[in-house]
Amino acid sequence: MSLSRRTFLAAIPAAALAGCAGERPLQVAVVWSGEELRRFNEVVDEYGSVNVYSAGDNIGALLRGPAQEVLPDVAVIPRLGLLFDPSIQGRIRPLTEAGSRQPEFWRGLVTPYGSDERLGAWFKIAHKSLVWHRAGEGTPPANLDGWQPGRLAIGAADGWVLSDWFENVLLAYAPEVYGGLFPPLDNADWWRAPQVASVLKLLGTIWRSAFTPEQGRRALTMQFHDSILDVFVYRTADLVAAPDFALPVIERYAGKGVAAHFRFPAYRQNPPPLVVGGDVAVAMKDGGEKAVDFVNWLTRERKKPDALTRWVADGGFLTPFTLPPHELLREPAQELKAAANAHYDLSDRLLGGLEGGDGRGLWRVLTELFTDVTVNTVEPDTAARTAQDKLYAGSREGAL
Amino acid sequence: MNSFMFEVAPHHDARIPVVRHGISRWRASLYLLLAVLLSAGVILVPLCATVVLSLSEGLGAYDVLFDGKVLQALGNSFVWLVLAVVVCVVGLGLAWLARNAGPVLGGVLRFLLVLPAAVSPLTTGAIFRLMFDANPRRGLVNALFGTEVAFLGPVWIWLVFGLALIWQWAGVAFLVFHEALARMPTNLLRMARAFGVGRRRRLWSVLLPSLAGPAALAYLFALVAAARVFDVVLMGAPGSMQAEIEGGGLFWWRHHGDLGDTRASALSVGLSALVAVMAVPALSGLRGRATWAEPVAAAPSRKGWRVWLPSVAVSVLWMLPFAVLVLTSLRDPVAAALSGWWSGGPWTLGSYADALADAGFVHALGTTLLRAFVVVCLVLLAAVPAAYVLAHEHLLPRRAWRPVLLVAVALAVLPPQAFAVPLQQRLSPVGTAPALAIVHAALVIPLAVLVLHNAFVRVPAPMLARDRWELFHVVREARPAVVLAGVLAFVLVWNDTVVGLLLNWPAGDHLQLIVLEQSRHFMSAASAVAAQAVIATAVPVLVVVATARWLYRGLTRGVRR
Repeated sequence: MSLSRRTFLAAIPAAALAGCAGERPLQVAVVWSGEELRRFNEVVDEYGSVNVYSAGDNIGALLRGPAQEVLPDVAVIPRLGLLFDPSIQGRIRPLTEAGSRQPEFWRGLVTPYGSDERLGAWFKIAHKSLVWHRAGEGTPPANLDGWQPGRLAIGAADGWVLSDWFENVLLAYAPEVYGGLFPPLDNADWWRAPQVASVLKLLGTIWRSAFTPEQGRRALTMQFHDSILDVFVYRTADLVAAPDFALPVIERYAGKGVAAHFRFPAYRQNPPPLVVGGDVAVAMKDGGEKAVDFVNWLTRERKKPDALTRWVADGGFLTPFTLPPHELLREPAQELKAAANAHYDLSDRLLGGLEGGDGRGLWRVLTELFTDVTVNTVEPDTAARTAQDKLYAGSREGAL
Repeated sequence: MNSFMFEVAPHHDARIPVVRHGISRWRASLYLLLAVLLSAGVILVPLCATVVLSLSEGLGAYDVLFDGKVLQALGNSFVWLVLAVVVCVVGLGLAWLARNAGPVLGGVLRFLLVLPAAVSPLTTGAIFRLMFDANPRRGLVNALFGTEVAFLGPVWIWLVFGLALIWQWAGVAFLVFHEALARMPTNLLRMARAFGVGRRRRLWSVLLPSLAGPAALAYLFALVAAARVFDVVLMGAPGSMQAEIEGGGLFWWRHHGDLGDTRASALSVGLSALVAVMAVPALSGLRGRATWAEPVAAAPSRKGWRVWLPSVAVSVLWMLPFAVLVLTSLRDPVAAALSGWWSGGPWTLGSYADALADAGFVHALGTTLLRAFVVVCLVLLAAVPAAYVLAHEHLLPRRAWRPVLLVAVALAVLPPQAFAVPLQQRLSPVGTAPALAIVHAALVIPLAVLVLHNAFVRVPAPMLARDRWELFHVVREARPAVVLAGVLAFVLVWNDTVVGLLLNWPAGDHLQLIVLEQSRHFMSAASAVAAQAVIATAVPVLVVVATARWLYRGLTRGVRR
């Protein structure tokens, strides 16, 4: 405590003098908070003089903002779409080939069409097509068609949880539509494809079968972590669809060795879906070569153990290079490397009217779909059509 | 805002009217310069720019007001503004309850009920989200009643946020009504009774008119709070429910990028109009104020359980949210995520140690403190000379004060969204830290001028002091009002989330935004969020407690006596 107090007292003059110091440390903006931020700081401490600050979900506004002087030198962004936002792309300094070589699929994601320069490099990647259950208690369904998951937990308060559901069903059902829904290909008509309506209906049917209106209302107040607690601590549910980074949450609250998972089910003869996510590190123009060096350092392949490999070892953190020691994560990590039927998280690529965020865009439409089919007991067919109309309206430029 | 109390309840000064020495108009305008420059530059000009921008394509941009989602958000704004009336009613009820509780009990109630107003709305959101969790193992209310209601889910969530608004602001309404009831024209009532005027007519012709002024004032306070609802929703509502209850301000913040500048401006003009329309009854109520009697000799305070039992109950209810926050912050993080504080230990200071070991948090603590201090200095520097000059009768006759008052009220009520876009474009070259301080200061200056002006006019001129020292004399005499203005500025800056977010600057160094970031996984970060919120709340609460005596005098008299 005494040390903390001293840190605190030291911070006041430090804040006052911040402007007067000589060379300023590299400014790194991230979205994490709490435990994740602490671990990121451990990784960065091995580099030297770097100032990490959390911009949270506002990182898009920060990077687009009018104030040039406050742009960070480096940003670690969980939303790939932001890299291709016209008002941000121009502020990014492309990486040189001298940096680390990441797998082809992942390099492709950060390369603009018709260009061979990369806008960023992957710091962390995630497997979002897993369904978790208590060890020894769940059996994977044969097929997505007619899947009735029974007692399901969904953290519907977090829009990204619902959008992960949508993306998995979409990628399982109609992989050919997936690629047309985000820039640069997107034209609003893709959202009117009949497959999108079928996917929304299938999604509504699955949710409807798993929730009574009262449970639906509760689910709307639960976040991602709450849904995990429901399965592994309170045991009021049996299944939860969640990315690989659910593992440390499970182990923290329920202990080790209690969990197992299976792949998100495939639709009929289609390959199983693989929705991936990840945090990409980018160097901003004003950061100069220093920023590029830092990004290359941060995303390099690790040969020796360091803070990052310790993070990987503790679970819930995958990179394009390191194979995690945790046996539950080995397979997902290999699937990420192979990247068969893999697509990056749709809601994190959308820009404009459908861009994610609480109370807006795709998240809001899916929340309303969820509320309709579970709480208001609207027929999935009707609710799906309403949702598709909203998506189409949202995808047109300048629309709300 | 508090200064309206003087307008509503003027004190009759029986002393010889003050004769002031003239200062030249030239020097007078110099005194006004800083305040006018700041409020005009930061609020008025960008406001006009917003209106012009919204009309740049004719009235077409106003179509946005008829979009389904916009209508929903404006409808929510309207519900929030209606909740402001509920806040006033509760404040009146509490004041009636405590009307003759005696000086000690009355003082305690006054203090406890007003305390939540010093808490940031962000923290209020966190507290109510903790208390109303759907899981009876964690949510106090469900545990108490043995139910499992999704209070934060559809429909019920309005109840939770209504209660949060009442908890936070009913105390201010209480203060106004408590003061008003103490000045009730009891002689008139006694006379009416003696002449056989019926109960109902007494109510209509004596009681209600004498409450109209304070009611208008209390309504105005609550209205400003309701119109600015923003961070309480951001923190307190689960992401899925935010669209269900967010008002126009929050909607604007989420969507102004998609709307484009023109339509976003149209929306903010529409939003300001809605607030303005709702504020009309308050303004007319203030205009039609009755002249009040001097405070009557304190009625003999009643004793007995009928007075103290409800008072104690109210005090306990009002302290409960603080207790929930503190107890949650003292629990082990894993335990706090899984169960409520009544499940017991392990108790630990670990979350506080973590908060103070977090460089970002500690840095923000320092910057926010520094920022609040700079803003307080800036506000006093601008507002004291301005209020002093405005208090000179020959420069601005009493009649002309009313339009100035109206402009000041309008500036204080205005949602910051109304002038954010032009402001952002113009101020960014200034540099982040100074720009933020300037904006904050400009937002508080109208309030500060109101508070100070009302105190300054009542300072008797010194017999022997020379003209050039009069300003210092006035400031010394009106010390409580100066302290009030300073504390107001400090608390508003310290508790701010909106300005930091709206102006899109890396608000990474503002305390409330750090706390907001911490809450991304709300329940599993419960203990950490609570600890940070306690630290963030302790500072303004301590400032208020330390200056309570001055604040109360500043509110009710404004002058050292």
